[in-house]
Amino acid sequence: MTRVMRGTHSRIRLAADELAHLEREVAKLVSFLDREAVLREATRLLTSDFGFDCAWLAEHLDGDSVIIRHESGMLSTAFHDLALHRGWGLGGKVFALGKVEWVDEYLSSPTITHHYDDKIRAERLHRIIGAPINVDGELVGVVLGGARDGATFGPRAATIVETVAERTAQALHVAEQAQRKATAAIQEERERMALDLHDSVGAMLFAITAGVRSVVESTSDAALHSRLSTIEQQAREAAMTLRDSLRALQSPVEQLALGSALQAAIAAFESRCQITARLVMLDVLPPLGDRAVRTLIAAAKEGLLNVEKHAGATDVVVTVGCSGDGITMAITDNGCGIDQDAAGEAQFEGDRGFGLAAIEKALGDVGGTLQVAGNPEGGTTFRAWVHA
Amino acid sequence: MSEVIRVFVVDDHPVVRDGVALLANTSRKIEVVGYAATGKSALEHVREMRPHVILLDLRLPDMLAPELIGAFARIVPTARIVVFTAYPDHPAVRAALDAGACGVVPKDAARTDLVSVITAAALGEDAAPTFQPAQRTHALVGRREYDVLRRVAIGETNQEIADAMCLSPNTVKAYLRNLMQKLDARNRVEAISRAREVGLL
Repeated sequence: MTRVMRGTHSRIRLAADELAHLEREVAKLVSFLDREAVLREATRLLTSDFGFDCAWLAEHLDGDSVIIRHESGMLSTAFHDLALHRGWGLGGKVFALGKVEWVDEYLSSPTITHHYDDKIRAERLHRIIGAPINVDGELVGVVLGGARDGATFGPRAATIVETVAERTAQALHVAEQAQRKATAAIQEERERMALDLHDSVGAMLFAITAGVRSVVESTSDAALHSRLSTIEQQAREAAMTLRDSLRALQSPVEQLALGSALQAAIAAFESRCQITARLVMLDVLPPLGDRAVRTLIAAAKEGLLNVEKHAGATDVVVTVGCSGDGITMAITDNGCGIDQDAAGEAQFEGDRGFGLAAIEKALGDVGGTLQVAGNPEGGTTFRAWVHA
Repeated sequence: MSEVIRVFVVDDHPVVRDGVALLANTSRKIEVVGYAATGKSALEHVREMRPHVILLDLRLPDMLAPELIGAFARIVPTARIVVFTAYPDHPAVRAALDAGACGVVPKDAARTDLVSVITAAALGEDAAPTFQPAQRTHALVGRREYDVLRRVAIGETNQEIADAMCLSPNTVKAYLRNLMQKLDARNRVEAISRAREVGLL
């Protein structure tokens, strides 16, 4: 292939065959179905195939900077994990403007800020060019290339960097889709396994228990009776364990995370106040936003605290399930219940404290609701609902 | 009902038929008259079996339970169909009950008195809540009771359940009381826990 020629007259050239090569090489990015591999390959392409001395790629994680995550052809570690602030230096300028930008005499250029000059010196760079990587209209990163000679960049170098950035964006999009599909496929397989296990092992456990039960009922031997009852009990526990494991297999990762956070809150509650509490996940839940999940967990903690302070309960169950087009988390206790006269808004004031009012507000902020009601046969139900 | 209750078991695992037969054998009033491992085979044989009660596994290899329940209702309209489940799969249970199954019973031989469940199903005892405490308890959870259980578990109040199901609060209370009795529970917390243990929730 035509290499970029070095020297005072050189530019990054883009002859017809080189353009074809560019297209061919960057198109390969799409075949990397892994995000990290795509980003690594994008910088490698710039140095190995398109004559840049070095290249780096900064990702936009959140906030007002992009962070350099991938490098190729570096002399030092100066760029390693460097955060490029929006508007600062050339990378920050590309980040801020969202278009291809370059400088030929970096250290003396009046068109950029000079926050990163020491890093540029460490890399002995003269000129830098960069382009934004946009996926679905959102800037996800900036790819940059540099040269240590005193030549200049032009439209052709811009074409290369822009092409690499565009293809990187496409490849990231494809990688994300692939990742999503793979996750869905794994989830599907797990669900299939769970159902198969339920069908086969569940049926066998039923038959074992039934067999033991029929002998129990036909024997008058007390010792045998007691031993068989133990076996019956064990088989029943095995069936329960099986159901719990199958439930875990069927649950999406986010649901397991919500479940374990709730389980932790319940364990803390149990050890604090010696009240038996149990978590019951009723359904496979639809996807929930982080904020909704955090709010539900906070609501569970507040609800349990409420039981601890006011209910005089000995037994609590926390349930989570689908209701309407959202998710409900309910805490039911067997305590003294609440004064029916204090129904409605009044119950969130005074004695029952600011905690409930705060949780009600937090739920309201994510489009959710809170309800606390006494049950006619005793006990209280605390119910938080969020939109899925 | 003086005649013997004829039970047809539809489950793709033969061990389940054996288990049901063993449990049913403890009563002379119940006879397992037939067994089918697939929906297709069940439809072929159900007429000649003349079952009073069909114990139907929620998950069969060839057909969906609601589909099969609809077909049973046409072929043997008097047979009462009980969904027999080892795993609480709410959407599937709900669909089967909507299709016309009269109740759901957990595949938990240690906890469930299958003889009384089958007898109750044959007698139609699931149809309405009994306001007097039943003399004899059975674990057949009827369609309405199952709905009430789900709603209680999700934290709904009696009034909310009554509104949602177009019932009076007293009827909801009665369903709930029967349900607690069947689950051997003293209150909502225990009802939810027990239902979980036996695989109803």
